[in-house]
Formats: sequence, structure tokens, C-alpha cells
Amino acid sequence: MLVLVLMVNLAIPVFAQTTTLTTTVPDAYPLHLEIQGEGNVAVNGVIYDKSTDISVPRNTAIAITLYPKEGYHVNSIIYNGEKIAADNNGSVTLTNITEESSLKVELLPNSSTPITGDSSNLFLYLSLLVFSGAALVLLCFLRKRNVVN
Amino acid sequence: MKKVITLALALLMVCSMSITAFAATTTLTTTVPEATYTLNIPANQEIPFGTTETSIGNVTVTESNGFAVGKNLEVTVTYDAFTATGITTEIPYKLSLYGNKSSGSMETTDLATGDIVTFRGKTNGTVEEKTVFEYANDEYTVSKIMFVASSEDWGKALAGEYSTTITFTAEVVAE
Repeated sequence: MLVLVLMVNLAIPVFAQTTTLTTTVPDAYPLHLEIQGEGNVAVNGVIYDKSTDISVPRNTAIAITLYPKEGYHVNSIIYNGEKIAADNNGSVTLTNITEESSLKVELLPNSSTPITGDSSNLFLYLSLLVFSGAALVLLCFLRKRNVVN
Repeated sequence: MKKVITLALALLMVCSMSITAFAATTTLTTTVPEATYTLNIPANQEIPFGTTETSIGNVTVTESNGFAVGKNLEVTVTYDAFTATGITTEIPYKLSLYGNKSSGSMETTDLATGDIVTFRGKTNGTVEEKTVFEYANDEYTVSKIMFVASSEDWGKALAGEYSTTITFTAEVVAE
């Protein structure tokens, strides 16, 4: 007996839809440079004398050199909110910048006491104080003697 | 004569014992419609560089018909890392489902490539508009699909224009 087997492929409809996500990886980041005080800051050899936004390449070391004006010194260097220290040459290297960043440099005058703007002659006033005090004492003494006489 | 009468009576008795049966039929017909639906998926979009987590939308089913309890719509989700032409680096990421319970509490579960999300058929012939997942014996209704990537992976990627395709493959399945 011949048996014929017929196989029927019952196709099940399948539908596909797609969503495409795109992104752009930049080759540089913005670095917000803030200079407080008097002096220059060099970023990769380019000198800046005032606060500005600059573009720095991603994933590369950034050389920072500080040039405080004569009579000024570097008080602090703050990178992305954290204090960092420069070497003896006033240089610091920022490694692997991977996001938008900020660099704040504070340059302060070398004098440790605050300048108040008072230029009075202390010796003169002290002398006047001593002299006027002595004169007052003498007057009192002379008056007393006249009264007694 | 008696024999004739007896024979006639016997014949008459046999003839009166005939049983007549009548049959009538009722035919019921039905038409099983082809299941129809509209699958809504997240739109094409730009992911800002450095994004570690963001919603890309949701996958839902509307205008459905021809379903029933046990006759569901299964959607298989497949995806791969971001790639760019001529650039060796890739940016891997994962998707996760963000769901809410009826009480308002939320939970997330990973949606790995190849995973299936199911839209259950209902007695009224439609399917549930949103898919659900179970977590700790609770059922959460998915309200959004999250894109998740690590900052380290973003940082390793070379500069360029990257893209990735998420494929949603829908199939009507009877349990």
C-alpha cells in the first residue's frame, strides 16, 4: 500500500520593524578656563590672559603652565571642583579629558597682609600723643603750684 | 379461511409496527479572522554622547483584533552595540524595561537581545496595549524602555558618527 504523506508548511506571518539610534562621539571637549588675579595661563602652549572657553582634544594629555604676574603667586588650581597642585615650574598636566571640564586658576599678590589703603605716618601721631600728654601734665602741675602760692 | 384471516392480521400487525425516523440538521458557521494589530515602536532618535541612562520610548500594540485568551502577540527584540564605518571602536549598551505596579511602585528588568515581550490576548478579541513582566511575584506594566550605557565605554570610543538598529519582530502565537 502506498502511503503518501503530504506535508503542508503553514507559514506564520512575522513582521519586523526597526528603531535606529544614532550618536556622535566628539573629537574635542570644551574646557572652561577661569583666571582670577593677574597673570597668564598657557594651555598646550597657547597663552590666555583672561577667562575663556577653549576646545581641547579628547583622550589626550593637556599641558597647563601658569605665569603669574610679577608680585603675584599661584594660590590655587581647581580642576572640575577638585584642588590640584602644580610642579615647581608652575606646570600641571591634565590627563585623559573625557568630558566637558572646568579649570580655575587663582593668582594672588605676594603680600600676606591685606592692603587697606591707610598711608598715615604712625611715628608722627605717636610723637604728638606723647608731647600733648606731657604738656597736659605740666599745665596741671603749674596750675596747682599757682593755687598753692 | 381462518388461516387466511390469521395471516392477514399478522401481516397487518407487522406493517403497523414500522417506525419512521426523521432527521433535521442545524449548521453553525464561524469565521476566524486573521489577527490584526498595529505595533508601535520607539522612533529613530539621537542619543547624546555620554548618556548613561535615558528613555527611548515604549513598544505598544493598538487597534488589535482577532485575538483571544491564549492567542498572544510576541515581539522579539534584537540589538547590537553602536558601530561606525571605518572606526574600530564600538559602544556597547543594554536595554531595560521600566514598569509600574498598580500600587505605583516601580521596577526595572533587563531586556537582553533576543528576549521576547508578550502582549496577552483578551476575551474581547484584542491584546493588552502594554506588555508586562514579573518581579518578585508581582506584575509590572511596562511604561518605557531604557537605554543604558557606561561612561567608561563612551570614553573609549573614537570620534565619529555611530549608529545601532533595534529590531522588533512580531508574531501571533497560540499558547
